[in-house]
Amino acid sequence: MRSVKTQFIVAISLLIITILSVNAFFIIQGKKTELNYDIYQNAESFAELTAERVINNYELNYLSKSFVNFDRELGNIKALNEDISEIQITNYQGEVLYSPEGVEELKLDQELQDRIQANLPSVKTLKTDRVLFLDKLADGETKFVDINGKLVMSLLESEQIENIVYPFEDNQHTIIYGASYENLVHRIEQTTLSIIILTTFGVIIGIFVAMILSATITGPLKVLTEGVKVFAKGDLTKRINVKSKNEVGTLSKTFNQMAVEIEKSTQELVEKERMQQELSLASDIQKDLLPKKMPEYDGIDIFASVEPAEEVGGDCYDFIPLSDDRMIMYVGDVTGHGVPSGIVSAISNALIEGFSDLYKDLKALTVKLNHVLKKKTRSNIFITMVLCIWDSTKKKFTYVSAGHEQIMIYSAKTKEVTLANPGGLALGMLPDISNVVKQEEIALKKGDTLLIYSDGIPEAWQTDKEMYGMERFQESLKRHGELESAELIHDAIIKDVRDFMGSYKQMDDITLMVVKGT
Amino acid sequence: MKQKGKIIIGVILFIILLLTFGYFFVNQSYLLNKYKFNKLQEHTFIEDTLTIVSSSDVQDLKPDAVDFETKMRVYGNLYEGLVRFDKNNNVKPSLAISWGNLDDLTWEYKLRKGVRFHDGSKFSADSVVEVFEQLSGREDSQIPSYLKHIESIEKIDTHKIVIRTEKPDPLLNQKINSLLIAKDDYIGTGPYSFLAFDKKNGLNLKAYEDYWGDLPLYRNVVFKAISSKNSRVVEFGKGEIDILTAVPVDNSVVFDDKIKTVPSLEVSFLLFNQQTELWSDPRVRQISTKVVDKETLSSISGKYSKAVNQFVSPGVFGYSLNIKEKDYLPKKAREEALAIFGQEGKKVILDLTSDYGKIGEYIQKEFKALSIRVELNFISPQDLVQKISNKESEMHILGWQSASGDAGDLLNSLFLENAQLNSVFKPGSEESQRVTNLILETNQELNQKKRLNKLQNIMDILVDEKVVGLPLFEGERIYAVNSRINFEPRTDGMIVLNEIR
Repeated sequence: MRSVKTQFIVAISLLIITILSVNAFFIIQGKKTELNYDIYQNAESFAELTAERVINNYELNYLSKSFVNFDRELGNIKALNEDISEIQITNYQGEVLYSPEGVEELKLDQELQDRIQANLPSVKTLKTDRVLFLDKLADGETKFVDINGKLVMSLLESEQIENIVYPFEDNQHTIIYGASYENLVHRIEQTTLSIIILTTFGVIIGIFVAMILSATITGPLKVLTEGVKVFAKGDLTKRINVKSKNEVGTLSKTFNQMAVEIEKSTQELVEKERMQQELSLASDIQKDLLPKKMPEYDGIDIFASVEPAEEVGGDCYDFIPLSDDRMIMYVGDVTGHGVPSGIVSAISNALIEGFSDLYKDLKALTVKLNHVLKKKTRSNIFITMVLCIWDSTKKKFTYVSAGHEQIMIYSAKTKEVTLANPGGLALGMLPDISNVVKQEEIALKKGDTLLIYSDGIPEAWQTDKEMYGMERFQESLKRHGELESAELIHDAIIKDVRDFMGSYKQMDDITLMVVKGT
Repeated sequence: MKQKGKIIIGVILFIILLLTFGYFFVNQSYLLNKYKFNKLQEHTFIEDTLTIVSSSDVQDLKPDAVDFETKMRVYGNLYEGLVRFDKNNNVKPSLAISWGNLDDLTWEYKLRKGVRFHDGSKFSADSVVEVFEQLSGREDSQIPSYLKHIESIEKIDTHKIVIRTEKPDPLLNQKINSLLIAKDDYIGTGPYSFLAFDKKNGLNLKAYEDYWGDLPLYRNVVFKAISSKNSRVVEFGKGEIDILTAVPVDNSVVFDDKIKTVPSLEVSFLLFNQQTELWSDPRVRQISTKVVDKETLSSISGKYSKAVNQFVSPGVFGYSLNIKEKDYLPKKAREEALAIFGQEGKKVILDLTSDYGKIGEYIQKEFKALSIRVELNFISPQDLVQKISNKESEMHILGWQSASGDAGDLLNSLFLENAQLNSVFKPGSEESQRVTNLILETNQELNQKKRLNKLQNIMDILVDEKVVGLPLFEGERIYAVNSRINFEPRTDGMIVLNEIR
C-alpha cells in the first residue's frame, strides 16, 4: 500500500525537480547566450585595443629574434583576455609571419584571403561558418556587413565565433585572434553546479514540506483509523480526538456524532431487547396463569381464550373449581393493556383464586376483591369483570357483573341472541361496592350458548373509523350458535372478528369465553 | 497534542533549513571565496626531501656571487632582491612592492613591510643601504659592474628608499635584480633558510615558515654536486634525484620522457685579449674566423647545442640579423697566416674550464693550421674570472647567459671600459672608447626601436668589424625531472623552488 506521505513526497519532489530542471535549462541557455556574446564583444574590443601592441612587439622583438622579449610581451597581451586562445600574424598576402607552436596551420583559402585583405575586421561563426565583417560606426555601434559592405543578419547572441581577423592599419599585417570558449564551459559548469545544489536543496525542502503537509493529513487519518478500529471491535465509547480544521477534522467530528448515535441506539436496542425479554417472560408468566385446559363439568361445554393486544395483556379469565360440581369462571378486563394491566390482571387472578376458598358467595367475593384491588392498585386502574358460578348439579348459572360487557345469550330454541342484564361497577373504583353488586342468574338450556367477552371484540377495528360492533358480534353468534362445541363456536366467532379486522392492528385484548349448554 | 507538537517542530526545522539555505545561496560567492581563501591559507609541506643535482659544486654562497651554480642555489631561495624575474622574464615585486621615477635620475622604491630575515630580524630600508654600501666597497665582487651607474641608495624612511643614477638608466630594475639582500652566515629573506653546507652533503635548505609570501611545497631541499656523469645517471635512475640540471648529453636518451629543455640564452665564445701581441693584430683575428667549422662545432658541443655567429643567442634583445655566417676556409686562412707569421708560428695559452675540454681541443686543432700553437690551460671558474679581471688571460673561453633577455648585460659586463671582465680592449684605446660610448648611449636610450638598433650596431662592430672573439655555440639547458615533480625550467636557468607547485 502506498501511503499518502510517500505519494506526497514523490509528487512534490517530481514537481520541484521538473520546475527547477526547466528553469535550469532556460537559465543555462540564457547564461550561455550571454557569455557567448560577452566573449565575442570582449574579443572584438581586445583586437581593437591590442592590435598595435601586437604588431609593435612583432616588429621589435620577433623580427630581431628576441623571442624572449617577444614571448613575454605576447604573453602579457594574451593575459589581458583569457578567452583568446592564440594570436597569429600574417602579411597582406596571407603568408603566416608568426604562429604559436602547436597551432593548426592556417588554410589560406579565398575566404580567408578576403578577410586578411579586407579593410574591416571580420568574425567567422563556428557552427554556421558565416563570415561577418564588422563595420564600427561613429556612435560605437557595430554594423554587420558582407565583404561588399552590404548589411547582413547580425551575429546572434547564441552564435560562437571561431576567430577574429583583424587587418592592421598599416595594410601590411593582419592579426588573427583565435577565440576560446573554455571559460564559458567552466562558468556553465559552475552555474550547473549551483543549480544542482539549488535543486537538491529544493528537493530536500520539498520533501520536508511534503512530510509536514502529509503529516497534517495522515496523522489525523491515522488517529481516525485507529479510533474506527477500536470502535469496530466493540468499544462504543471510543471518540476521535482530532482537532484539525480541515475535512479530516469534519470527518472526525461527524464520526464522533455517529458514534454517539450508535452508542445511544445500541443502548436503546439492548434495553429494548431486555424489555422484550422481560415482556416475553411476563407474557409467559401470564400465559401460565391461564388455565392449561378447559374444565369439564356436566351440563356445559366451555372454551375460552385470550389474545392480548401486546405481549402482556389486561384481559384475563380463569376457571376455579369449588367442588366436583361447582366452578367459578370469570372474565376480567383491566383498564388499558400492556404490562401494568397484566400485573393487575395477575393480582386479580391470584386474589380470586385465594378468595374462592373463603367466599362461597359470588357477591361477597366480588366485594372483597374490589376492596383489596382498591387498596392495592393505582387510582386510575380499574378492572371490569363478570364472575360466574356453574352448579352442574342444579344446572344453575349465576353471575355477577362488575361493570363488564353484557353476557351474550344464544337461544337454541329461538335462534335469537340477547344480552344479559348489565350492572355493577368496575372493581377498584370505590372502596365498597356492596351496594351495587347484584347476583343474577341465566337459564342455560341444552344448546344455548353464552358468550362472556371483553370489549376487545366489539371494539375491534377494521379501519380508523369502523369497529366490529355488537351487532356483528350478535350476528356472528347467531350464525355459529348451532355449532356442536363451544370450541367450534369460539373459533368461528374469533375467525369472524379476525376476518373483519383484516390487517388492522389489534388495539385491545380479545377475550372470549363460550359456555354451551349440553 | 503529540501530533501538533511534531508539526510545530517540523515547521520550525523547515524555517531553519530555509533560512540556512537562503543564507548560503545569497552569500554563496562570498562564502565560496571565503572558503577558497581559507583553503589557500592552509599549507601542508611535502616532507620528502627535494634533491637537485648538478655537475659542479660551489665554494660559497655569497649573495653577490655571479657564477651560475651559486646563483642557481641561492637566487629566489635563500636570498631575494628588491625585484625578481618571473619565468617569463617579467619584472615582479619582491622585497620592493612598487617603484617609480621621481625624475630621470631618481627611482623611488617602496619596500615590503612585515618581512623578516631568517634570524628573525626585520628587513627595512637600512638592510638595502647596508648591502649596497658593502658591495660597492668590495673589489672582489662582481655586482659593482652591474651597479656602476647607481650613484647612491638612500633611506627615506624604514620602508622607502631612493636610488639615484648618474645617468638615466632604463635597465635599472634588471640590474637591481642582482642586488640580493642578505646578511652574514647565509641569512636572507627567501622562502628557504640555510641548514648546512659542505662538499659532501651539498647545500641543505629548510622551508622558512615565517616567509612573507607563498610557502614552498617542500619542507627540505638539498642541492648536491655529482661530478661523475655515470653516477648522475644511476642515481637518477634509482629515483634518488628529483631534478638533474647537468644531464649528460650522451646519456640523454636514457632519461626518456623525463627530459625538459629550455633555451639557455647562453652563448659560449672565445675572446681575444687585444693587449697581447698576437691578438692586437686585426688580421690575425680575422683569419681565426675562417678556421671554425660551424657544423663540426655543433656536433662537438652536443645534441642540444648549435653554432652561433655572435655573442648573444637568437631570442636576446640586441641579436643582430646583419651578422652573416662566416665561411669555413681553412686553406685560405693558412695561407694568410703564413703570410703574417711565416713558418715560425705563435704560441698562445687558452684559459678554459673543464666543461669546454672538447671545444678547446677542437680550437687547438684548427688553430694549428694557422701555425698558432694553443696550449690548453684548464682552470676553475673562479680562477678564470680572476685571471680575466687581472687582464692576464691571453685567450679564454667564456659562457655568458643573457638572463634578462637583453644584450645590454653582456655588453656592459664584458666590453665596457673598466668592466671587471673586460680583457678584450686596451683600456683607453680608441676602440675601447668607441664601444664604451656606444654602450653608454644604449644604456640611456628609452626608445626601444632605437635601442635595438644601437645594440645590433654594437654587436656588428664586435663580431664583424673588430672581431673581438669567436662566437662558438649556444646551448639548451637540459634537465631531467622526476615525474612526480611539477617543474618548468626557466630561460635564466634559475631553480626558484617556490615555483615548484
